[in-house]
Amino acid sequence: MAVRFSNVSYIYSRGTPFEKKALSDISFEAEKGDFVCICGKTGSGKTTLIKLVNDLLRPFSGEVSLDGRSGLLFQFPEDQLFAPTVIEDVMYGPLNLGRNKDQAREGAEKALLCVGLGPELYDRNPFTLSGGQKRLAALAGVLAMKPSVLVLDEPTAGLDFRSSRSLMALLHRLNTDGVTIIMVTHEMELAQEHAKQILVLDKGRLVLSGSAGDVFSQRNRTVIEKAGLELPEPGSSL
Amino acid sequence: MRDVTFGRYYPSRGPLHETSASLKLLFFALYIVSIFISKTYTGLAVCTAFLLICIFISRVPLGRVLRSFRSIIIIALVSSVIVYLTHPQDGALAAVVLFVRLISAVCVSALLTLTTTPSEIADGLEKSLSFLRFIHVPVRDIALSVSITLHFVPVLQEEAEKIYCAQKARGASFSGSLSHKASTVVAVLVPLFSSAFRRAGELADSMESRCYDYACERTAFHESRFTSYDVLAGLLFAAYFLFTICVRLMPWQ
Ligand SMILES: Nc1ncnc2c1ncn2[C@@H]1O[C@H](COP(=O)(O)OP(=O)(O)OP(=O)(O)O)[C@@H](O)[C@H]1O
Ligand SMILES: [Mg+2]
Repeated sequence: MAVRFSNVSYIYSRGTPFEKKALSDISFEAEKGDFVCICGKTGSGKTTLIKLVNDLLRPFSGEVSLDGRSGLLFQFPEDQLFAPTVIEDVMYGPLNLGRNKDQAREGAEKALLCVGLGPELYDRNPFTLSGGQKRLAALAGVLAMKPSVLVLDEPTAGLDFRSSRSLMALLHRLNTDGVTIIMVTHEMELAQEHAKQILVLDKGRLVLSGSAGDVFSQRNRTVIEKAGLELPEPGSSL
Repeated sequence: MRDVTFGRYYPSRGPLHETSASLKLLFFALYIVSIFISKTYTGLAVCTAFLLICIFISRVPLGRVLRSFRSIIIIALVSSVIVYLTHPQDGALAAVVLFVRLISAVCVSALLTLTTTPSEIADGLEKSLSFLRFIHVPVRDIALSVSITLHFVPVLQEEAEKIYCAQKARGASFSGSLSHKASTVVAVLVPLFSSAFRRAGELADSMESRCYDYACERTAFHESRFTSYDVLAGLLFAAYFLFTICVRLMPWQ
């Protein structure tokens, strides 16, 4: 078991007029080496769910358990970058883990190479990068910490087809090396191709879960459409 | 950081929400005057009672208002103790006076921002200070800056929260010794400042791209007019204010 949710609920702005129930009674389990895709339409609670995985939010009720170290790629990479240069940003995590400067720099360069960002970007201010480059820099910052559970919020959004494919290939490689992956995506085809387990959220409830074959079967068509999603086109894996 | 109430509007339709903003600003200023002219237990009791009544009729939960002085209560307590210890006579009264003044000043400003939206405040400021335009004070620009500042309190709060999350997600720890906590606050503040400047630049661009011109006469989308509500509120407040002055001037005190 890498991640387990037992009857987890979450409410934003509790006790104010803006109170909003974002998740109700979510239970699931991700094994070590699992590849979980979370699908659901806008506002269904996906980001809330993965913030709970990473302990950025505390459940209102229920219990979240996590085995190992988790790393989170935020939905909006702007929210994730804060250091004055790319290389410092990527080194931030390893330094927090107690590595010395040289080790951290080495790890950071490896991670940046891994996501395909070259040395010419190391000393740039991360906010001057393009949207896609920001995302990759943020991903490098997460990978540099060598998490055993990697959580990604719509990692392919804003990437061109090639970068998106190479990102998925990278995730696949990490997964084969034993990293548990939990990924939010809007692209059903990506989920169908990569996921070992799929979770479908609808208005904060977990309406479907299981393997791609089970979840995306014709008998679930109405549930999936009610959740505001479409079944992936048959045979159209990317 | 999450619990900053100052500058947060609390939507409701209570009588204080309906009162015109320029009037509320005037009340605010006069209320501060009234707590500074009250130097006796009676006077302070009147001020406090009035504040409590205002909070009660505003329909803002008491807790929301009280939360605003959580951070200042230590300062108020410490300074009251110092006053108590250093005053040659009547130390207790001086300490209570200071304490009540500080707390009610904070509460009344919280009440103002809780019941008035930032744009209403800016509008009210512009109206009530417009006489200063005759001596070439750029009242409108000041009002706009105030309104933007108030708008950005919750935005920056959110931003700080995001940076906090981003750092926490990468292994920063926010608990531990006091000096460690202080250094983590700096680590959040530095990116917060750079992001505030970035946002300010973006905002200026977006205002200019929509032809904001600081030199021209502006009209309001929501014209604010005095209503019978305002007249009633004004009368009640005037009564209160005169009463505090009477209490101050009472010969037997
Ligand atoms: N900070 C917040 N305060 C109050 N409500 C919030 C907050 N963040 C999210 N919500 C609400 O909680 C619900 C779930 O939000 P969440 O961000 O988890 O959705 P999502 O599935 O990630 O959507 P998207 O696909 O657009 O990213 C939404 O209705 C949203 O309005
Ligand atoms: Mg989201």
